[in-house]
Parts: sequence; C-alpha cells; structure tokens
Amino acid sequence: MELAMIDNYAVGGRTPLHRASTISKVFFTCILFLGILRAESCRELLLPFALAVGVLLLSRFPLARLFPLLFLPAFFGGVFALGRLGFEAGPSPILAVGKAVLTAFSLLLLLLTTPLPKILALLGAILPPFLVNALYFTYRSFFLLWEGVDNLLLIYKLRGGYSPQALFTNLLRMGPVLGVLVLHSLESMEGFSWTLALRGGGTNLGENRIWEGFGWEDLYPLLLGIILLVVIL
Amino acid sequence: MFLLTHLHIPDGVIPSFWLVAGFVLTGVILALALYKTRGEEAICSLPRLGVMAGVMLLVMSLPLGFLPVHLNMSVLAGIILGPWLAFIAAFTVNTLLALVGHGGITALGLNSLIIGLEAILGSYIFRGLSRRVAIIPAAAGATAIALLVSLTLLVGLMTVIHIDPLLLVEHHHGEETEEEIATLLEPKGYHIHASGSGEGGNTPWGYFLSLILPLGLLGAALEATAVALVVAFLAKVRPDFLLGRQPGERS
Repeated sequence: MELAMIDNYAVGGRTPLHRASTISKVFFTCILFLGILRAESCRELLLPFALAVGVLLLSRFPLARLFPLLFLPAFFGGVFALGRLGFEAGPSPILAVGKAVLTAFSLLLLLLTTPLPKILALLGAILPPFLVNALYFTYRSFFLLWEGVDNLLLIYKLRGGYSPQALFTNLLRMGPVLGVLVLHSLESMEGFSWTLALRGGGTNLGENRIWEGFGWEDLYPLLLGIILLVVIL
Repeated sequence: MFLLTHLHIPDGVIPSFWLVAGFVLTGVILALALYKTRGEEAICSLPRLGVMAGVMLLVMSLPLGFLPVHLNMSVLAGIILGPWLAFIAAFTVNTLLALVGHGGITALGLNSLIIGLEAILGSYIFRGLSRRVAIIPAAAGATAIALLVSLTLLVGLMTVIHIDPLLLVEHHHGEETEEEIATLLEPKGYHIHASGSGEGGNTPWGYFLSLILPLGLLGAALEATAVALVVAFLAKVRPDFLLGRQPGERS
C-alpha cells in the first residue's frame, strides 16, 4: 500500500527538504497549489511542474515509484474533463488532467518529505482537537489493520478462498473476512477506550509541536516559494 | 482503481464557487456532528472512529478481483458508529486520501459531503428498516438507497457546476418568460429546448452519464452485498457493535 511506502520514506529520509521545517514546506506546497490552480493554459503549468519535479529529484525519491500514485488523479481528471466536453466554460481536458495530476504531485511531495504526525500537528492550529485526534487514530489504525488484513488474506488465499477471476465469489467471502477484521479491531480498541476515559480528552494525542525553528534548510523551500509567488503575481 | 459508487473529484475541474460551497456545507455539518458527539463519550469513541475510518481506507486499497474497483464501507461506518461519528470518519478518510492524491484537496469539502451524507443516510435508513425487516435486507437496503442517493447527488453536482450561479442571482422574480428561465437554468453551452429536452442525445455529457450510471448501479449492488454480509456476521457475534452503541450497551 502506497501510504506505508510514503510514510517510510517521509520518516527515513535525510535530504535537506526532509530536514526543513513543516511550516516552510507547507508554505511552498501552498504556493505551488496557487500556481497550478491559477494556470489558464498548459504553458502556465510548466513552471510549477518544473519546480516540483526538480525538488523531488533533489529529494532523491525515485520518480518512477510515483507514477502509480498519479494514475488515479489523472484518471479522475480525465473522467471529469470528459463530462465538461461540449461546454463553453471550464478548462480544456489536457489542462484539467494536468492540474489534477500536478496538485496531487505537490501534495505527495509534502507527504514524502514530512511525517504525517507533523502535518497533523500543524492542522491542530486550525482544526478542533477531536478532529486532529481522529485523523491521528485513523492513520495509526490503518497500519494496524493493514498488518492484520495481510495475514488474514494470506490464510484466505492458502485455503483457496480467493480467485482473481471470481469477482462475485470473492465478494461473498470477503464479507465474513472483513467482519472478522472489524470485530478484532473494535474489540482490541475497547481497552484503549477505557484508557482514554481515564486520561481525559481535550489535548492532541499526536505531536503537539508546531514551531520547529528555522534552519538553513528552510531557505530552500522558502526561496522557491517566494520566487514562484512573484512569478504568479 | 476507482470507486463505483462515487468519483473522487480532483483539483482544478470544479469552479471555485462550488468548492467553497462544499467546504461551507461540510464545515456546518462537521460542527453539528462535533456538537452532537461532545463530551466524554466522544473521547471514548475515538478508537472506534479511527478503526472504522481505517477500515474505509483499507477497503479502498483492496481490489475486487480483476476489475480495478473497490468498496467504500461508508454505510457500514454509519451503522457501527452512528450518523455523526460516521460523518467525521468520512471527513478524516477524505483528508488522508486527498493528501495522497486520491481526490483533490480543494474538493475535500465536496468529496466529504458526498461520502459523509452516504454514511448519515445509511445509518438512519438502517435504523428504520431494522425495526421492520431482518438485519441482512435492512443493511443491504440501507446501503443501496444511500449509495443511489449519493450517486444522484454527484450527477446533480456535475450538472449544476456548469451553471453560473451569478446568473441565478441577477434575474428578477416573476418578470421572466419561460424561455428566459430555460436560458438561465441551462448549463453554459448546452441548449435546452422549450419542450425541456436537451439538444443532442449523444453529447459528451450523455456519454459521461451512460458510463457512470451503470457502473454506479453495479457498485451499489456490490457494496450492498458486502455490507449486508459484514453486518450479518457482526449481528451474530457482537450485536452491541451495531447502531452506534457503546460496547456492552444493550438496545
């Protein structure tokens, strides 16, 4: 699952962009977004695209591994562009797909260089604590469930329950498999519910630190963001 | 892979007015959900919310055989968590999906609205149906109805985004003729005749609908089956997990 791969790279990376603070990287991502969404022609998308690809290459992430992640935004962008064909208003199909892919690319760039708990800590400045905790729990639960479903699916396949061609049979058998997974997960969380009741709520469960201080690594996304902002405006 | 019952709206294809409206509406419903679930019980429900949101994220990663399609489980979240926590779960799932490019970040409001309303509707319909029929048909019926409503919402959204809302504000009530009303309501560039029929049954919009609607109906059927099977299993083993009850709470 790509979330596991992205998380692993974000936490394990040691490039200058990884060491930059979350605020400066979010600033750069927001300016990239602005540049992409304001673009009214494919030519105007070239600068944000070049910056994003350049930064990603400097972060030493293999670009080819991103292509499967970019397939979905390209697909949905194409579907929605198809829906707009024949209407006077709205972007051309190529521009629509380009914008969808590039915005996804910008966010992936942020996620590949910043551990998700740090992004959630920043979101804590604007979202209520309950929502931030819900995001943190979802993120944590996903990895626990992924490990559980991996083992469950292995057992299921070893016992002959799964076939790539038998869509309907897979579906009939997937129900109880998911039921077991949901049941075990909910039961294992019951004890944690009591812990939270004792602990009380109101504070973030994940990382609380928003301000990490600025270092020389922050110049890199900040300067790129400022240059792009000047060009856009 | 894509979700048959709805499309993850990407960035850059929807006009800003509708994106802002999506965020405002989602914000209002989120505020209501947080108000309804405030207090110590809400804190204790966090792990269950996280698990169900994690399940939603997980099933979106599991393909159903050779077809590049996946389930959703928003209605299952509504049945287990209750309507308001399920809406919050839908929002968290969409936020995390948007961060990995599965749906746009600017369209987060609209995407959350569609999936969240599925969960809320599914929860209420299940509650109503389970008092009248057995668990399996209640779960299947609730899922099918909720998903069909959300598909209708999506198609409706894709229609109205072509209408300039400022035109609707500028017209004067009672003074326009039927033709003027038709002109105001027609999507830009798509001509509606006075009889109400659209021009050209084979427009790209028509192709779009003819592609999405059958897939949506198939998706609703598959999802209804899967949710009914999961709910049937839980009803046998741990019925206290259904209908947003706290563990150990009896009906």
